[in-house]
Amino acid sequence: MLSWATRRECTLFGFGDLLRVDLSTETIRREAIPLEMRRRYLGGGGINGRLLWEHFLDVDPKVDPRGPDNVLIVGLGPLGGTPFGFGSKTKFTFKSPAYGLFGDSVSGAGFGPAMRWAGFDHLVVTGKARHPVYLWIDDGRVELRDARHLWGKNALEAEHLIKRELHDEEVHTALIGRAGENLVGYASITVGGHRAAGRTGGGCVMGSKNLKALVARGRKGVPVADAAAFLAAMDEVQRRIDKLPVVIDNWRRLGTLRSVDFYDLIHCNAYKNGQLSAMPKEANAKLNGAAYVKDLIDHAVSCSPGCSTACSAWQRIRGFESAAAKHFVGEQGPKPEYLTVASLGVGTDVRDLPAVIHLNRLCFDYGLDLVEMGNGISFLMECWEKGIVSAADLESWLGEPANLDWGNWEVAAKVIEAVGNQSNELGRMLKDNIVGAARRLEDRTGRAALKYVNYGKGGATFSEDPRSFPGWACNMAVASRGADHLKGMAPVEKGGRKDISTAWFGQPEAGELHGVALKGALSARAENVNCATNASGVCSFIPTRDSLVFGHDLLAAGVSALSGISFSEDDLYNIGERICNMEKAFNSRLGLRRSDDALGDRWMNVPAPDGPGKGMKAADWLEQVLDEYYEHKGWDKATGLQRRAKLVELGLDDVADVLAAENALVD
Amino acid sequence: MIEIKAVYHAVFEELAGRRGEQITIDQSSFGALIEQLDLRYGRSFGDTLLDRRTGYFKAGVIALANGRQLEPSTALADGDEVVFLVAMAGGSAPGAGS
Repeated sequence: MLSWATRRECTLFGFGDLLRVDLSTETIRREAIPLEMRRRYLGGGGINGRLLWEHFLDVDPKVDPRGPDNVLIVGLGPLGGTPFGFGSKTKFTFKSPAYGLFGDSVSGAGFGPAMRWAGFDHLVVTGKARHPVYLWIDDGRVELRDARHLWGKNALEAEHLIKRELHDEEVHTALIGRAGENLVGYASITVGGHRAAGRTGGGCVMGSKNLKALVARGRKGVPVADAAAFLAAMDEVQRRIDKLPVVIDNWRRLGTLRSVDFYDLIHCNAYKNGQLSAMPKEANAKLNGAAYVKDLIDHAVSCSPGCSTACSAWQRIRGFESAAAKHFVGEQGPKPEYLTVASLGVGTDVRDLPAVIHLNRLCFDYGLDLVEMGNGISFLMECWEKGIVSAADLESWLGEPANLDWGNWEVAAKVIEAVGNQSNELGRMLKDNIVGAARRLEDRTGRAALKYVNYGKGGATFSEDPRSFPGWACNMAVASRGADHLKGMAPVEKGGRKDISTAWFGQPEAGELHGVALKGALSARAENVNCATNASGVCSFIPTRDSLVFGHDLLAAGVSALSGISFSEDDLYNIGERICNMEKAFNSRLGLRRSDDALGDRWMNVPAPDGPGKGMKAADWLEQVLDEYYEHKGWDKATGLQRRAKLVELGLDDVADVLAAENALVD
Repeated sequence: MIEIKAVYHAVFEELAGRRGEQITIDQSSFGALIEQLDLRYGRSFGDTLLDRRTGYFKAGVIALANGRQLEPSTALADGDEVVFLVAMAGGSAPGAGS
């Protein structure tokens, strides 16, 4: 939605205000966001990160993330909620209850755009409400409303009730299910019913604040400074998309599900909890994109406003599609993404796409990060296979005889329900995260279990096998929010893109699938690029299809036209680097050092079992890759800490001073 | 002379008009296979896959031999399976988000 406002009607073209809500005192305040902050952090995760830093200058960063002193920050960058062409991705930022470090997650759907159309780009929620409430942003009017009648409801029902209460099916929500209410560490925020800010526990933060939902309706649109230039920038987006028909056609047809096949071919699926890195062909055939398109797809949809490629889709299960489908007749929802299938199908060997879709729906409804949840289920299945979890254990947890055999989707559903409801010992064992669950299981059984968890930094799990992909492994070891693929995602390594490697580094080696050379540099650069992409408000998926075609010149042109403030491609890269450094600095204040940039035992020490990278393991090259990563970041290799010179170069002198005072900086 | 099993996905399936075939080539390199495919299906096959000047893969496409990344000089062995496909790295989940 665009509006052609005059300069008198808005504080800043292209940008909205900041809304501060203190739940403890029930105060709501509107502030303009200073122009200088816009220039330095742009928006989305950029300004969120700065606001997080400032919040924790007044509050000890080591506070309990489930306590009232944590903060929930929501932000959407300037191109979000406009028809620019790359969709809208809203960032949620907080201290992570799942891993105890910097936490954030992005989501599609309409809440962020509606907030922006109501005039607010960022929302900061502090304190804790006396009883459950929801925040209702209705254009310029903002209020806290009683949510006691919604507490105990899962996400889909709560969203329905809110829409009925507000007499408007078109309001946009970001809310929690029972997992968030029950303070599950990796509870997610369900956005618009069918998308989620899944990772790192934003739903737990909302639950800890008695905040059931954020609801927005916006009609004001986004004021544009130079409409003609903005339309020209939109045209250029389409022109670039048209330059890549092979890629985009495939993307529109399959979206991220394309990776199910591709990852089997290059051996980076984590089959059976990562014991193997590719599925048997018959399992692949049940779970891949072709299977989805053949039997399940109803129609294509985009996940957020302003997207011109629509990689998502909508399905309704009719009952004939698979052995399990008859149990889910009539269930509707969005197409599963690659990580849905990887976490709930590949890792668990549930060779039934409708069953995977059903488990996905359960995760949405309870509000659970399906990556952590799926890894928890596949971890339990491996422990069952190895005799660490017994039939007696399982019966005592579930109250009935059961098994955790590979592919048992029914027991997988029971695990999700146990975690979401926190109704039994199994649910409580899995409450914090999967590393925590493994430690509890070790205490209970006296058997080693942690070595069967696939995790990286912060103990965060992930549903891929990075052992023969040094760039991907580096991402898992360094990401500010814990093991993660999006922070450092680039098409260079797994796409074999020697042309991009050459353009970025003057050498092609980063485009070698299994090579070690330049992979630390690749991770460092990709993080900076992706941080800027999110700060602009758009989805990173099309820009990361091809970093040469979809360069930041496109985003810079869009933001400049929208705001009337000149941003160059270099400005955006510098903004991205500044954002990465803010996230890093937050973690440094928590005591994280180089030794925390690490991977779990399986990825580190167990050789890749199959494929062209067979025999590779991170212990053989991770330190070398990390050295290169820190070097390209301008950070200290010995400690992993930032150097003052780099922070000063980025204009972050104040950040350097705080870190220096806490012995978390190398001068 | 070696025999290669070629497997085509996505745009390569459209260009070849089939999902796969056995191909005999007299030189055991990936470049020789591409020349053979250019002869069969026109230069658009190789043009879709490779930048002819650098030998690098073009945006979003890749060829693998038994999972190994290829370039024109890569040696192929009798019986190798070469897969032509659209590469797709990464993949958020609506529930994983991102």
